[in-house]
Amino acid sequence: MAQMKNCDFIIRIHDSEKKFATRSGTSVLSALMPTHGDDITAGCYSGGCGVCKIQVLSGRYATGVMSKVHVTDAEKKDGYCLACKTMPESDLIIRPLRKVPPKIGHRFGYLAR
Amino acid sequence: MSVRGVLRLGEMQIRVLDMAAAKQHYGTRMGLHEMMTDDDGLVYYKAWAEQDHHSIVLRESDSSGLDHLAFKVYNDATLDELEKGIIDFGIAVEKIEAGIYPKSGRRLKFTLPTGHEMHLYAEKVQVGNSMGTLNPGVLPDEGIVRGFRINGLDHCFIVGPNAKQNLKLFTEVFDFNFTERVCDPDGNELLMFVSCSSRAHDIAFGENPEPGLLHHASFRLENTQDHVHAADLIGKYSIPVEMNDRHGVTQVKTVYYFDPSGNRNEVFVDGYLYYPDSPLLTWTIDNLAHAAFSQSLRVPESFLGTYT
Repeated sequence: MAQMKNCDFIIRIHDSEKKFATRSGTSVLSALMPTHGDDITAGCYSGGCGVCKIQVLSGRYATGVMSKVHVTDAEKKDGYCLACKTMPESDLIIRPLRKVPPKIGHRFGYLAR
Repeated sequence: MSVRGVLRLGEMQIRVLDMAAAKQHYGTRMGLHEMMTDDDGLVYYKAWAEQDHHSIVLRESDSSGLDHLAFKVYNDATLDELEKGIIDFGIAVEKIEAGIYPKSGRRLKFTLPTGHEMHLYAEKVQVGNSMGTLNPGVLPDEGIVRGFRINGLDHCFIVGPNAKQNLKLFTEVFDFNFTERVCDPDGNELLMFVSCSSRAHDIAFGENPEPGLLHHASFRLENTQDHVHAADLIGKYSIPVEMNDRHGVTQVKTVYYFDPSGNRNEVFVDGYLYYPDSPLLTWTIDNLAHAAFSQSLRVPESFLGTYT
């Protein structure tokens, strides 16, 4: 009987003990968000807004179309990408860039920093 | 109300990263009607109920965002009056000949204090809503109202520096009414909503350090059932959703979702009737949850932090 695999790849977060399992065909962002929302922020899920920018430090992956305002061609060569448009093709080690603005309350000064 | 002067948001030109994906989104999914592709590859759309030739223009680019927004005005004389007003306000105006923008009469082109390119025009080819003007009936043929069942482009929300100067330009020169605002603890306006019609906003401005950014383009639906239908299609096709809720500000029932290039779209229904004697409504930022999403009282961090 065919055994169902419970994951295809392991993604690790650089400088952290955190690691998580994901399946082929799921973007890094979609894989992280449900359980690792503290490490990454989701925005448009479509490669346009740039808040989920990461650097892949090791592993193979494919990327979809991403706004060059947020990932230049030069950056792309250095492993920078948007997690929403990054599909793992092996285990990965990633570094979230936290291009995340401060929490709304902090940004607009109605919550204590 | 007698609407003269500036009539409505008549056009937005949006940059997309992948035209094929964008055409599937705006055409097949949302149900806008593709009207033409010009020599430069720009694709033009209208919503079924709109009379003018197009309201959305898509341009393929390596970044997403807004190329320009354009308001239609009552007539050509209005353009002359407004040109003087804009120049007196201290903003340079470029005059664009008729026909440079397809199907369009002459335009005034200028840059808003927030860094956005804006146009004003009085003429655009009217193609109608398929029902004609003599004994038009009430319902178009089957298949005309389709996809999200969008009636028309309604408003946009743009962010940049000097948003209060946009407010001043729109209220003092374009004769818009200041309808609602969200203020910081010192009473400074952070988000501003203005109207040239009987709706609570035709455009909104947000203060943001980086200029020229788009928060969202918004489309008007006919009724609550169509709103549910649109949300069901958004789910069916796995279109990324930011919120499905109601705004305290303007009282509209909303769904925020993203196009395949990350540009935020909204479909909405409801909202109160605005008249020029309606009072300015003020929300304080500590009450942002009620102002922004009045049912769930949850404001996604992305909502006031990601733009294209």
